[in-house]
Parts: sequence; C-alpha cells; structure tokens
Amino acid sequence: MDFGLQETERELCELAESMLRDFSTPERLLKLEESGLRVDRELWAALKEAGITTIGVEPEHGGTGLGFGEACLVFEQVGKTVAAVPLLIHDIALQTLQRAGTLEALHRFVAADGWLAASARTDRGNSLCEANGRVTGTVSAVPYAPEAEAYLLPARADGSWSLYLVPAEQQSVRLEGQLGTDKSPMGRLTLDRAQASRLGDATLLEWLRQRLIAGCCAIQSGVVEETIKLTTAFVSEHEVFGVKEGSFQAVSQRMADTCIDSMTLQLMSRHVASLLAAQDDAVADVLAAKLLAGDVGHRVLASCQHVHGGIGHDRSYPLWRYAVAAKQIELAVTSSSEATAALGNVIAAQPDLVAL
Amino acid sequence: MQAAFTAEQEELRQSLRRYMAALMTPELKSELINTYGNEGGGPLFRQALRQMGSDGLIGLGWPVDLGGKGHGPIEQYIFIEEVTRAGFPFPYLTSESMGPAIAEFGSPEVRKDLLPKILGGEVVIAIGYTEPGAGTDLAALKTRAERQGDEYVINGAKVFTSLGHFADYIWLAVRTAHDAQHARHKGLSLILVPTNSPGFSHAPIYTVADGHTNQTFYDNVRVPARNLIGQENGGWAVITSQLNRERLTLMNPGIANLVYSQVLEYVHERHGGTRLIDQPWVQMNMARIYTALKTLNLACRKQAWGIAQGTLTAAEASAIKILGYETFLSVFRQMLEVLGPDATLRRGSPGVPLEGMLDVLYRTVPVYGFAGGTNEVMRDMVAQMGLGLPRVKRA
Ligand SMILES: Cc1cc2nc3c(=O)[nH]c(=O)nc-3n(C[C@H](O)[C@H](O)[C@H](O)COP(=O)(O)OP(=O)(O)OC[C@H]3O[C@@H](n4cnc5c(N)ncnc54)[C@H](O)[C@@H]3O)c2cc1C
Repeated sequence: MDFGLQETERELCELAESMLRDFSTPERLLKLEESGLRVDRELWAALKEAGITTIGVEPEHGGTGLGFGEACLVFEQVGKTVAAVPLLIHDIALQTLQRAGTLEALHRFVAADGWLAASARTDRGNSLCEANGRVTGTVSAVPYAPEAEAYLLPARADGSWSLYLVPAEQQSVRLEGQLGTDKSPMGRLTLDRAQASRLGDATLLEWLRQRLIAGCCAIQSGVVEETIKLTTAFVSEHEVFGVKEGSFQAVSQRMADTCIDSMTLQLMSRHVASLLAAQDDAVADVLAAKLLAGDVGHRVLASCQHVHGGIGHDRSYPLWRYAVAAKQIELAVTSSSEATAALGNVIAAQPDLVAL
Repeated sequence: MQAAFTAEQEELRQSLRRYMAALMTPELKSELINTYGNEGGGPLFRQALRQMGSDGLIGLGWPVDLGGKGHGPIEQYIFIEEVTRAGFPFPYLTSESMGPAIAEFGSPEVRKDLLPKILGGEVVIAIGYTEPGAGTDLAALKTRAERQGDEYVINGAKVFTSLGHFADYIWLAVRTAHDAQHARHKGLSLILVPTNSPGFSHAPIYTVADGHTNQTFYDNVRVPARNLIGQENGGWAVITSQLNRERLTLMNPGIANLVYSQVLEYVHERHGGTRLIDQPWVQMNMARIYTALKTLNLACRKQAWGIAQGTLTAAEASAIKILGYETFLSVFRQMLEVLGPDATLRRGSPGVPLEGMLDVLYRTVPVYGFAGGTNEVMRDMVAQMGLGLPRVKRA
C-alpha cells in the first residue's frame, strides 16, 4: 500500500507543471482563444522536446517510456493550468498504436510535429461503418480534430466494432471545425469511403475508451484542485461587511466540502490510473471514477463560482476558464449518469463485484 | 499509488475472519441480540472478550514492551474491519484509545494495574465527557472533583455515558479549579472512576437506534488520587489526545462493505421469478453505492497508511470523518430503496431482509454526524487547517 508520490513522480509533476504554467498565462491563453485555434504550438514543441508528448511510448519506439500512472500525473497538471495542448488525446492515441502493434504508424507520429486526435464515441448516431476497407459516416465533437495529422475512430462492420486509423489528408474526409465550451478546437468529421487501417477489435476500442476516461478524470482532478486554490485565496482576502469573506462559517463550510470532493477525486483518479498501468481492463472502477469526476467538477465549480460573486463571471479573472474546462471534461467520453448506468450493467453481469 | 494490501496483510484478514467466525457462537449471538442495543455486557460477551485477550488479539498495535504485538496502523485497521464485520461489539475505545492514553499519561500504579487487564480483555472503560450543557462545547462541563488528602471527591452528572451500565471504569472529565485563571479548558482534569465506587449510579437512555446509553451520577464518589490521568488541571491535553485516537478508530467501512455484499447477493437472487438487478433503477443505485464505497474504502486505507507514515493531518482525518458520515447516510438509503418496503421491517419480523440489519444501520448513522466532534467543527478544521481559510468567529 502506497498512497504517496515517488521522488521521480514528484519531479515529473514539477517539470510538467512549470512548463505548462509558464506558457499558459491568461494573456497568452486569451490570444490563442482569439486566434481561432486554441492550441499553443510553441508549448507543444517544448513539451515534445522534453519528451512529455510521448510519455507512454517505449524508448525503443522513440518515447519516454514512463507508465500510464505517470501520464495521468501530467494530465493533472494540464488540468491545473488549463493549458492549450492536445496532450491527453495525442498521448493516449500513441499508446493505443503501440498497444495495437502498428509500429510504422507509431514511429511516424512520434516523430511528427503535429498531433493525433481520437474519439471512442459510438452514441447518438455517431457511428461509422466499414466496408471493403473504407469507412463511411459522421462523428461529431472529436477533440482537437482540426489540424490533426490523423484520427483514431471506431467503426462498425457486420455488427461488431473495431478501431481504425484514418489519415486526415484525404478527399473523402470532410472536417467542419467546432468550438468546445472550453474554447478548445473540436471537429465534426464526415467520411465518405475514407481510407482507414484497422488497428484492432472492440477490445482495443474499450482499451482506448477506458484510458481516455481515466485521463479525463486526472485532468478534472487538476482543474478542481486549482479552482479551490484560486477560490481559497480569494475568500481569504476579499472583505464583506468589514470581515474576510472566508471567516463566515457558511462560506468556509462550503469550501471544506470542495476540499473533501477534491481529495476523493484525486484518490479515485490516481487509483484507476494505477490499475490501468498494471492491467488492461478496470471497467468498474474507471466508470466509478468518471461518475465521481463529473459530480465533483459540477459541485466544486458551482460552489467556487458562487462564493466569488460577480468577479467569477468576469473574463478578465481566471476562474471562468476552470468552469468551462470542468464542464467540457464532465461531458467528455461519458457523463456521470451514463457512467452510472454503464456501471450498473457491469454490476448486473458480475454478482461478485464487491466494493473492495 | 498502490491501494492493495500486502499478502501478509490479506492473510491476517483471512485468519481474523476465521477467528471471529469461530468466536461468534450461536449462543453468543443470541446473547448479543437479547442484550439491548447489541452493545455487549453479558457473561458470554465477557468470556469472548477475555478469550480474544488471551489469544493475543487485543492491542495489535501496541508496542511490544507494553505487551502488544507492535503491528502497524494498517493491521489495526484490518482488525477493526474484521471485528466489525463479525458483528462483535468489541469495545475499541478501551484498547485503541484510552489504553494508549493511559500508557502515555497514567500514574505508574494505574499503568501497572490496568494495561495488562486491557490487553487481557478483562476491563471495559466508558467515556464520561458529555453533560446536559456540555457536548460540542466540552469545556463548559460542570461535574467537579475536589482533592481531599489522597482522594478526589466527585459530584455531578453526565449524559450519554455509553457502556456505563456495565463498564468497569468511567473515563471521567471533571472540573478541578474554579478561579478565573483556570477558566474553561484550563481547569479540567481526567479521572478514572471505578464503577463499583459508592455514590456512582446510572439510569438508561434508550436510543432511536435500539441503543442503550446512560445518564451517570456522581454523588460524593471517592477515588484514589493515583487515578488522576495526567496533571491536575491538565485534563484537556489528555482529552484531545484521546479524541484524536478515537477519530482514527471511528470511521471504518467494514460494516458497509458487509451489507453491500449482502445486498449484492440479494439483488442477484430471484424474488417472485425476477431479479432486482435487472431493473435499470436498481442498477443505478448499485452503481452509486459501489462508487461511494470504493471512494470511502480508498480514503480510509489512505488514512491508515498516513498514520503509518506519520503524515496524516488533522484536516485529512476530519475530512474522512465527514466523508464517512455522508457516505453511510446516502448508501444505506439507496440500499433501503433497493430492498423496498420490506427493508423497513424490524428485526425478527417474518420476511425481513438481511435480518433487519439495514433498518438498524440507518437509524444509527446520525450519531456519526455529531459524535467524536460535530461535522461543522470538522469542516471548520478542514477549511482552516486544510485550506488555510481565516478562522471562523465564535461568539
Ligand atoms: C448514541 C450516543 C452515544 C454517545 N456516547 C457518548 C459517550 O460514550 N460518552 C460521551 O461523553 N458522550 C457520548 N455521546 C454524546 C456526544 O458526544 C454528544 O452528543 C456530542 O458531543 C454533541 O453534543 P450535544 O449532543 O450536546 O450537541 P451540541 O453540542 O449542542 O450540538 C448540537 C448541534 O449544534 C451545532 N453546533 C455545535 N457547535 C457548533 C459550531 N461550533 N459551529 C456550528 N454548529 C455547531 C451542530 O449542528 C451540532 O450537531 C453520545 C451520544 C449519542 C447519541
């Protein structure tokens, strides 16, 4: 049993956080948001240089060779800084290529300057079909699809799902730019018999999906942690009725609850990261973590926005970015209620799934 | 991060589970059910407790030179979880909380006399802190003790002295000074009162959760001065040390884990030809319960680990106490929903599911909200010590 961070893990967190923070100043983020594509290419190049964009890839394939647990610690820092980088999607996509054993593609994208996009969604008509090696259909809200080099997408053939790698540069792929609530670039992809190479079956798709979810939980954990830090500083200084706002018991009790929420989310998120580092499948706990991440994000942001009063809505004050980031993550891949239903299904199929 | 127990710890768990299963004979179970509130105190309870003592199961975490096993907090956590699961009303506070406090603050005579008896399962100690006008605000207590020669003479009354009707001693908080210099907590002392002392008496308070606690009365009770624990007027340090240990033993998910596994079995069985778990809302409840318990288990394990590492903060301990209460409150409700109207049947009714355990549990949970430090005060500690918020003003 060990609930702490190893020395190397702490150093990794510090390195990632300081790089992400240096670049993600409010001024710089604003500029990027106004540019129409909220991606910080300079930061991305710096992260690539430091080996952070290839964190889960083995050294023999040109990566840094750290595990999924370490990758999730870095995702926490992305959440803390609301940095404008497709790190989660790109890094997990690379790990998926590695897992699938498609080494030629892996080496190409490890070396590339750009990023990979990925989506595991198959809901609400977002379902692609494969026939004769070609993929057709539409999928919406693919994170960081604009200007991505290629996409990892699920498609169905003869009733069963597989995961495909779809190159971006082809006539038969149409991308419509979309804007996320957190101002991150997303894309609606319409494929018309697009070229695609099959990476693996439904098991690989599930492998990807669980890691995307766990990564989202790690980001949410960082978002929530930073939000509380910001808000604590605010209510410790801000005065109302001649006293510090944080000395009102109603306010401090509510802040204590955000602290407990944040503690539980960090625990669950790091727990599933450690499970997925050691085993392929941890579906029950992964769903439980996403359920919690959605609920905690919602509750903590509501409380923190509330105790800020008006300034929390002012876009010249940093809180709003955390509010929209939390909502983006809450709905990403699967929501709390959908995860609850899915976990219920797992429990129905597994009579011996004891809590611990 | 790594949340799993070691192979040795899992082995300890299995051996404790076997031990407790053998200890809980049908005769003992029936005695416990028939003693009001399942709190123990009967002859078979006493016998089982002594058995645990002579088998070396009490004081798992005590240092070896005090006669303990020298195990770490993680092993103690496993011990409490297994004893709770077995449904044995083990008097934790005696061995896990007051025992170590006696070792730290007691006079040589008291240490020599009592520590072996605690380890042997021969004594039960009840806590006498709360008074009608002094609960959360404990420093307002009025029960007084006066030094007369080699004795203290005690007068006053306490409420909610749990186990006081069969305990061997009361761990009693009293006021020993009355001048302005010794106001509130500065004038308190802690005295260990034998319950066979003349002038001691008790009257029952029956609780909503079928519990039996007590009013206890002290009418010129004379106690040897060596029973003073710590310094005269130094009781506050003893009390806070004891309460800090109490908080660590209070929150254990053992019983919730047990009912969860029973509810899980229940929803997978066929009742009237169908399985409850095939209904979407039952699946949703079970998923939420699973998530909440998983989270609580992780938090409690982290707490035990933090104690072992010496890194546990007061803010974190308070946070876990609140989390435990909130979790119990919601998961027992959701389990009751799953079991349906039958879940409100009291123990002994024909057709009652899970032997009526959930009905008792939901009635017990509110105590966790205010006992061992009320949750508002716990939240103040999380806010001030965990987040660094300014102190809340008290009138
Ligand atoms: C079943 C049971 C067993 C018990 N066993 C024992 C025992 O063995 N020994 C013993 O000594 N006592 C025991 N107690 C008593 C218990 O410790 C007290 O009930 C507890 O300390 C709360 O005190 P109180 O009941 O006087 O409530 P109060 O102190 O009056 O508190 C009532 C409520 O006021 C609010 N409040 C209080 N302080 C604050 C604050 N600072 N900020 C905001 N809100 C506040 C909270 O909502 C609190 O819950 C037991 C009680 C029960 C019900």
